[in-house]
This record gives sequence, structure tokens and C-alpha cells, in this order.
Amino acid sequence: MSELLRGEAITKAYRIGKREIPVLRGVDLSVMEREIVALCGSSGAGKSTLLHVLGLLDPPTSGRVFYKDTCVSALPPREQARLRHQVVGFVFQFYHLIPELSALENVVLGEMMLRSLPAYMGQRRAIRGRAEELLVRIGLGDRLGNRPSQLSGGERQRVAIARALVSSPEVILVDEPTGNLDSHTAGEILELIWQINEEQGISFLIVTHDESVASRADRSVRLHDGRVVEAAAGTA
Amino acid sequence: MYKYFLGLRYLLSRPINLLSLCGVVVAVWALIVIVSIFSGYIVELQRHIKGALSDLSFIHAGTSPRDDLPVIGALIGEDEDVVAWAPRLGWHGLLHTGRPPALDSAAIQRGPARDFVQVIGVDPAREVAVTDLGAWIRAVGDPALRVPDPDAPFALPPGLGDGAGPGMLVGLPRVEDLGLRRGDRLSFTSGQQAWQGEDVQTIQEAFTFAGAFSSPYHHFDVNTVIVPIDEMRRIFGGALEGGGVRQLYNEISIRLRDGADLDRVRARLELAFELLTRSRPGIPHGLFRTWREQNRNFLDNVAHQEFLMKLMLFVLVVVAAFLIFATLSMMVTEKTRDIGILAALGATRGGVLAIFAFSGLAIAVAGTLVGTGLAMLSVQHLDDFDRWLDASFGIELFRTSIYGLKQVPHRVDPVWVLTVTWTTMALSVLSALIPGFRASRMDPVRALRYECS
Repeated sequence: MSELLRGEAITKAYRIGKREIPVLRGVDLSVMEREIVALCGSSGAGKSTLLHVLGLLDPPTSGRVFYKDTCVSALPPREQARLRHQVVGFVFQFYHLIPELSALENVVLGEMMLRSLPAYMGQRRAIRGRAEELLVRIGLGDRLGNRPSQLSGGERQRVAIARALVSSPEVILVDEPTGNLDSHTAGEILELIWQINEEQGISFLIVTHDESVASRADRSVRLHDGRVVEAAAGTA
Repeated sequence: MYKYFLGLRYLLSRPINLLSLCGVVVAVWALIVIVSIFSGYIVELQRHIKGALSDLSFIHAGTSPRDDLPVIGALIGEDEDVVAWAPRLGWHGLLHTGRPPALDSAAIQRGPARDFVQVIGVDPAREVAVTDLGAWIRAVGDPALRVPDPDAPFALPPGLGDGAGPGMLVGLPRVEDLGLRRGDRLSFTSGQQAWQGEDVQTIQEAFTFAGAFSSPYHHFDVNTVIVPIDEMRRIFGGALEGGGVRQLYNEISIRLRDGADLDRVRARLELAFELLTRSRPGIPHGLFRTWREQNRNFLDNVAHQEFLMKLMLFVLVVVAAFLIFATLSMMVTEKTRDIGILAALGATRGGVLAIFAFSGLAIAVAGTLVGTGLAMLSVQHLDDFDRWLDASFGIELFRTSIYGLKQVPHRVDPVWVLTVTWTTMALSVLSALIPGFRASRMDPVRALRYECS
């Protein structure tokens, strides 16, 4: 397996007034192709911040982010946005779906990102067909036209996963995917993630408090106070 | 693509955006309809003023009439663009119904109907060549008020006896106001001071109502009476011992050929007059004025009112733009989390800005189109609308009776419509750009945490 995503000596500090609060203190982390990495740690350890830095949503204070050995953290914002769309997918704890859009439209939205109006209209049927297929595959075939407010937590998270999948990313960054779900639904969502990894070979970096997820992952990394304190292979 | 899709979806899912849309519609409608009415009124007004005046006038600068008509007439008649000219002798004074009142102020105030009027002495045969006097006389519908023969406008009805004064034409609105009938006695009272320091000579003359006239200019009809110029010449001491009168006058009305450049002819005549006064120093001063110059103050005043009204109405556009700004600012705050999501999905800052700019543009385009469409429809049916308003609520949109118009005037100026539409759209988009910039500068990570914080 070759390296897909790597953070090198990542530091991140937030400034509140005159105070500078360090969140990440020189973190090195890599995600290999087809790998599921669990990122564990207590609240405030810097897990989500690291996820955002690796996903190019938040620039590091120092350190670099590499995608396939190319430094991408210094790219111009427009290029970073393109990479976020084409290479990285995000799934959040609170689903973060657009409330005005149906499940299908939320998924299609990802495909609209880099297309002009004529380009989208030319491929509209194909794009909608692929989004429908994705939603059917994750068990939401009968909920295509429903808005997020009409879906359960588990269903919303499935839509969020479908949205992350639609642009065929190479890695999906998942922030507490089950943190807001009951144990049964959480199990279903995790099962879906592992299934996608197995079938499509997409890598996952999962921020989690759930020790069972950590033990099931190919590798788990533990953060404490902004530093990697433990890295271990999964036991599952 | 997502910019248009989301921008439109955000707009349609928030009823409050209708408020912005209505603001734009009302602003555009008002700017087009009200300004069209005002522009139409100005056009009508100019047409009416022009209809009551000759193209150009030579106006005597002194208080006493002048008697150099052959000289000045020849100077004017020599110009290649002059088609006809006619002398006038005008004055101002009080018009009374009935016999002339006693000449003291109390008696004048106690007396019957009295109005301050401009009396114009004209030579009908020449006047019809420079103004539409014949048409004004024929325009009177009531046979009891109409002069039977426009070629002899001052002819009196038979059977009035020897005591009847010379004929006087009175504007139709005043005739109706005074309830005059042909043959009624009228009197004119005024004063004249030939030179400063001299005694004021009293003028009091009896006239007989010969008939009404109705020019296109209501104001002229209300304030003017027309008498034979020779009567005015006699009043001003022009009677000759052997009969006849001196050719006194204080104005010459000039008609130009169609298409002649008024200002150029005026300049030419001014130059010719200046050369004449240099060669003959005794010639009194006089001025050449176009019909527009004679009413410059009034027309400038109306044009200034139009400008002020446009300015006031333009405030509506600013209010509409502010509504767009306010509603889109609220929308940006509500959609903070979405901005983070969009960034995570690969949206650029420019893309986020475009979502809100497009929302503003959509409101502006829809509002401008609807407003313009409604305005065009309203302008076409202004009279129906005015009648309906009057019948339903007793409100007259445009009191045609005040302005002597038969219908609500309007003139849609395409340049003005384009100015309104483009200005409204530009301001609306500008006001949408401010919240748009705020949205585009948001930190996506903070935006994502917005709901949780």
C-alpha cells in the first residue's frame, strides 16, 4: 500500500485575544491507500482540528500536508478547493446536510461543484442517476425526495456518506460518525463504512471516541494534548 | 452550477425575500409610472403653451407703446424663415362684468365679478397667420358662446343698440366661470404711466362679450381676453384727428416656416435689429424671444419639480436595495453552517459570494421585470385606473380639470425606463454583494461549528 495523505510536523494554534492556544503540537500522521485509520483521544485533544487541517479546510500554523507526496498545504485556495472536491470527502457528526435540499439534491450538490451550468445540464440525467444509485445502494431508495428534517439521524448520516462518495474521492475524513446515533444505527453506519472501504478501496480517517471502532480499524492513532501519544495496528 | 441552484433555492425557501421583491417592484413601478405621467404632462404643457403663442415675439422694452411698426415689420419680414408677422398691443387690468364701476378702490372691490387679466389687442386678419386664433374660436362647442364667423371675431350679435362697446373675446373657462352670454357688457379698468414720475392715467373702457375662445393652453384661456388692436390703440392715445389710428404696438408675433431653427432665427433678427438701432439711434429698445424663452421660468420650474420628484422616487430604489441587503444579511447569518459545508464540498470563496450575489440579482431581475411590466400596463390603462379610483374611492390620480386636459397625460421615455431598470439592478446587486462578501470571508471551520456553538 502506498501513502495517500500525510501530515508532517503539523502545528495549529488559535489566537484568542492576546493569548495563543496551541491545539496541535507537531503531529505526524499518514493514511495509506485502502486503509481505515481511527483517530482517538479525549475531547479537546485536537482530533477534529487535525481532520480539518488534513482535509485542507483549515491551514496549519506550521507543518505541511502531502497528497501522494505532493505538498498541497501551500497550494492557492482555489486549487485546495478543487482537491477538497476531487480527492477528499467529509462526513460530520451532525451530518451537515443543506436543509432546503432533498436527500437526492444534497448528494447531487457535490457533483455540481466543479461543473458549469451548461456542463451540468448536459450530464444532468447521468449525475442524478448515479446519485440515485448511491442512495439506493445505502438503503435510502425510498427517501430520495425527503428533506433532512424528514429523515432520521441514521438516514441523514447515510445521505452525508452518499454525498461524500458521489465525487469518487480517494479518502473520506469522518468526524465522529456515530456520536449522534443510537448503538444500533451506529453499528449500521460503521458497517456501511467498512463495506465501502472493502468494495471501493476508499481510505477512511475516522475521528472517534468509540474504542470498538479503534480496535476494528487497520490502524489507530491516539492524540493527547495535541500530540500523537500512541499508534497501533488494529486488532480486528 | 451550484451557485445558481443554491441561490435560487435559498431565495424560494424564504418568504421574507418576497418583501425585497415587492420593494423592487414598487420602486420600479413608481419610477416609471409617475415619471411617465409627469413627462407626459410636461410634453402636453409645452404643446399647449406653444399652441397659444407664436414661434417668436418681438417685445417692446418700454412701458408706452411704440409706433415704428413699418420699420420693425420690414426688418422681421425680410428674414428668409419668417412666414408671417402680426402686431399686438397688450396690457393688464381688471375685467368687470356689467357697466364700468366707479373709479375708487372701494367701489371696484364692491362691484361685480372682477379678475385681473391680460388684454391683447390683435388684428384678426394678421393674427390668424401667426397663431391659431381661428381654430381657438371654432373650438368652442356651445353655439351661444361661439363666434359665428371666425373671420370677423369681434362682430357683435344684432340688436344691442348704439351703447354697446367693441367686441371682446374671452377664454372659455372664464366665460363659464362668469356665466357670460354673447352681447353681455364687460368693462376693463387699468392705469398707465408713460414715464416714471408722471401721473398715472386711468384707463376704463366698456366692451361687449363677442364670443369665447378655447386655445390648447388652459392658463392662457383663463388669464387672457382679446380685443381689436385698434381699440387698444385708441385707449393708448393713438386716435388720429382725421379718423383712423396710429400703428401703435408693443409686441410683434412672428411665425416661422416649419423646421426653422428658432434660436438661429432669433439670433439673426437680434443682429439685424442691433444694426438698425446703430444706424437709427432713435429706435427704442426691443427683445426677440422664442415661445420657450417667454415661459422659461415656468418651464424651468416644472422641469425642476420633475427632477426633485425623480430624486424622491429614487429613494424608493435605495429602500428596496436596503431591503435586499437586510434580508440577504439575515440569510447569510442563517446559512453560516451551510457555508462551511459548501467549503468542505469544494466551494471557493468566489463561489460562496456568487450564491448571494445571484440571489440579489434574481430578486432585482424578477422585481424589475414585474415592476416594468406592471408599469407599462398601468400607463396603458391610466384613464381606466383613474376612473376606477375616482368611482371607488373618490380619489383623482391626476385632476385633468385643473390642467385643462381630457385624459391623464403620459409619455414613456425608453431611456428613462432603461435608466431605472439598470440602476435598480446595479444597486440591488451591489447591496447583495455586501452580505455576499461577508459570507465568502467566513472561516469554514468556524462556520461548520456555528450550529454547535
